Amino acid sequence: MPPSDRRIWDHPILVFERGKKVRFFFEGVEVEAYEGESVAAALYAIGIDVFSYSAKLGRPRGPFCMIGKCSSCFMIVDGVPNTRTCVELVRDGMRVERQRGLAPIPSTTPPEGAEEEVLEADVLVIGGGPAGLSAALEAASYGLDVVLVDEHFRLGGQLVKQTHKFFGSKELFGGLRGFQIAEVMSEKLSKMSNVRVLLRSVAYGVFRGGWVGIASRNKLYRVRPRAVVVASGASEQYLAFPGNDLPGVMGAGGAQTLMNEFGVRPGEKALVVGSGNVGLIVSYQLLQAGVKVVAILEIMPSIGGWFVHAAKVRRYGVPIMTSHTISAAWGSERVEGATIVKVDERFNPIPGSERDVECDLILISVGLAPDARLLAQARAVMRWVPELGGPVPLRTIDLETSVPNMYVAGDASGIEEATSAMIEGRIAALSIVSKLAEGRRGVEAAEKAKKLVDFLWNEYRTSPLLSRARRGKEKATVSHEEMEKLRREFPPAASFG
Amino acid sequence: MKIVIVGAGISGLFTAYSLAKMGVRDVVVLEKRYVGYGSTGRCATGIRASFTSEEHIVLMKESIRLWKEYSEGELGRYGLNFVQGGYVWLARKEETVDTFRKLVALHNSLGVPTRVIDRDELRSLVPPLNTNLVAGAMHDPMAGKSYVFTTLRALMKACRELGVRIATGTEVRKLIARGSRIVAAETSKGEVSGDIFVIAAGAGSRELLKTVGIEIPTKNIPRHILTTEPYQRAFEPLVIDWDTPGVPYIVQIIEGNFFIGRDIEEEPEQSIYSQRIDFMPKALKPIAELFPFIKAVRVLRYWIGYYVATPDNHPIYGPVNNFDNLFIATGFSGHGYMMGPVTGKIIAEWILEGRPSIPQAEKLTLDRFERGALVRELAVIG
Repeated sequence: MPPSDRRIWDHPILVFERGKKVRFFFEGVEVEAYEGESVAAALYAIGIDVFSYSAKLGRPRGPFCMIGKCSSCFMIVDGVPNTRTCVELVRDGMRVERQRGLAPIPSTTPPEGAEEEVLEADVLVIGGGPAGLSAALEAASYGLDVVLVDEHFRLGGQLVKQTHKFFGSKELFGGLRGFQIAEVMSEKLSKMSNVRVLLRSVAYGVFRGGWVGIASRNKLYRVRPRAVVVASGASEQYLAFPGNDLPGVMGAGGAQTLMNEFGVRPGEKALVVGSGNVGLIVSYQLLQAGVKVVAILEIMPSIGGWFVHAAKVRRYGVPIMTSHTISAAWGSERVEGATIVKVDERFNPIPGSERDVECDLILISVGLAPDARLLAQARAVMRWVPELGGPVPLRTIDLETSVPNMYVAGDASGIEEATSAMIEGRIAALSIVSKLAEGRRGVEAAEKAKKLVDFLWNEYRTSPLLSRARRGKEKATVSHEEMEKLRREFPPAASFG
Repeated sequence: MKIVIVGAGISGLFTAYSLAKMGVRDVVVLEKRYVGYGSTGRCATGIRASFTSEEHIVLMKESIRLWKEYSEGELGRYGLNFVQGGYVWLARKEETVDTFRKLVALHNSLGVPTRVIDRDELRSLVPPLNTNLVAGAMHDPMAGKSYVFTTLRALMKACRELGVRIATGTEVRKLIARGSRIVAAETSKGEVSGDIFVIAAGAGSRELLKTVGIEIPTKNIPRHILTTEPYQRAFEPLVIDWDTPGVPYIVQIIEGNFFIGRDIEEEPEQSIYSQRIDFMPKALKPIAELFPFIKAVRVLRYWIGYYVATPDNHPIYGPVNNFDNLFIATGFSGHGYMMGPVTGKIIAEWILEGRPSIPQAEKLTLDRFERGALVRELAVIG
């Protein structure tokens, strides 16, 4: 067992309050962790880099996304293979083993099959990040019965790893750090008796007759809600280069989860690929966590992110190398270095410009892809919008898709940022309330939705910093008449309400 | 001679392959969406000859021979893989074992080497099976499986190398007839003319043939299936839970995933994009009784494909009475994938030599429904 401990004990702005000690077995050896840590974070903290060996070629693999979206951290947990250790809490006495090749047949099975329960709900909210939490709070505040589903073991989505202070008014949580916003909203939600939260649960499909299936640990729920808000967020884009699957090649967001949520240093010397805001912010956070940043690479001729974030890392002497990209990562069981290369104006590598850099961490920060799979499965009409990161559902201005009463909000509707996600969540919920609530309250919700739509489009998104996202969202938004036409031409697989 | 094939599923591609192998230079395959989009890409990958009609048995035995031959030749080098892992039918009731004995006698008389096996042999064939629930079983060692997507890719590669053109994203909207000849296919990308037309358009065949006044008695029946994540090899045979209504089955495909299906009551023509929430528990419960580890595996996907079913559950093959240059290969009633190689062979022979080398195929032409000469099942069971 490596003696190293990558946990951060001193941090300039974060305090990690660790729970009581938990002991579990890794490859038969007893190891220590702290309550509230994921298995992946706990193993990473004690210096474990290789979590599995790949199915066909037996290549070493380590965690990549840290939020349950990829399959890089699969291990055998208590006899069950293919367990996503990044969303599995440590427990006393659990047995964790590396997976080698294809998963073995599970050696332990639950004695009983999954229990089934039918849930009643007015609104089903899928995803407990900024958009989903906002939607659930808004809908519940009007007395609607809400079920909120999230894959993770805690609410907040990616807010929990955002350590910067938000801009804007108090209503928009200006002045608070992301993880604090998550705490405030989760706290508020927990006091509402008409909200049921299902954690570690996946909304796995939309079915004939307007049923939605939810799979929880040993329990299957089915629900036929009157409306659905899909706020399932995004996943990190990948980059193709030799060695991109080595442990130590990680999503920038994955590294944020490790260091900001769990207080675990993701490496010693980092190379960051991509100079968008995520790349710049994560570089600054790496410095705060005591990690050296050898360089930030940017394939474009200019820096992608905001000036304020670029200036911050430059002050620490981190070079931002424009017209550069990574051409290979090398190392045996973990990244030991990378080859970087200059590119010409058509982004082709310039021969002879290759250079080797030593690093043990390569963070990929080349954008996010909306996770709108559930909407696609329900046959919502989708459109490929490059400004939004990929395929997104077409929607009306109040965020209803071509599946009647199925709404979209947050990054699932197209990559933007957390504040607009919160506003979108509220608009979707208010639009639902305006249909479902009777009398004055319905009218009130409609007015409030209108005001928020007006604020979002005519104030908030007029910032030049959001112009790209705004362009994308304009492309994805259609009039109510157009939506009716789309519904006739492409009938959905199900409808709600 | 230009041959136009409608449909790039297993039947269309094997027909194109056989034609090209027999020397036809000008073959074009028109596909509405992408290769394998229809019933082929949605099938359970099983292959067997243990049927109850002479037509099926004779054709399928030849198909299995071809699957083997192809997997050892050029198509095999391109990735076509055939594993002769067998089929196993489980009896939960004693009396079902008697039914199996009768079936075995029939199969054996027609050269299909099925056998009734006891629990010990069953355990060695299917180690993770909970044999406590099983009274006996029937084993077909001649049967096997082939992974759909590697097969399709191998066929695409081989076809293209032989000069076959495969036009995906090209929907055939109607056929254009002049007298007793089809002269062109009107597609979403313009007209395609040809000397011979083959309709292998699966669930879309019926509507397409209507455009030249041909009615075929097929119904598109939705069939549901799911897959788990891939696992290490646990067992080879496709296992059928014969005594449970809807006849659930499980097969570990060559890639390692478990495909699990069960018949649930469905209206014909129901959309394949209209999944049902009750399917997964219905399919998984009986299978989890037999294979307890299934309770701890994760389902990856669930989808629906059509059985293009005819009144006698046998395909419609060959020429159509009132046309000189039109051939049909459709209505496989759930067996199109396994019949792919023999379908390609006999349709190619029909076109180039005037008749197929397997005489039983001639009993499967469309006019059998008018003549009332439906295929006779030698044993109707269960």
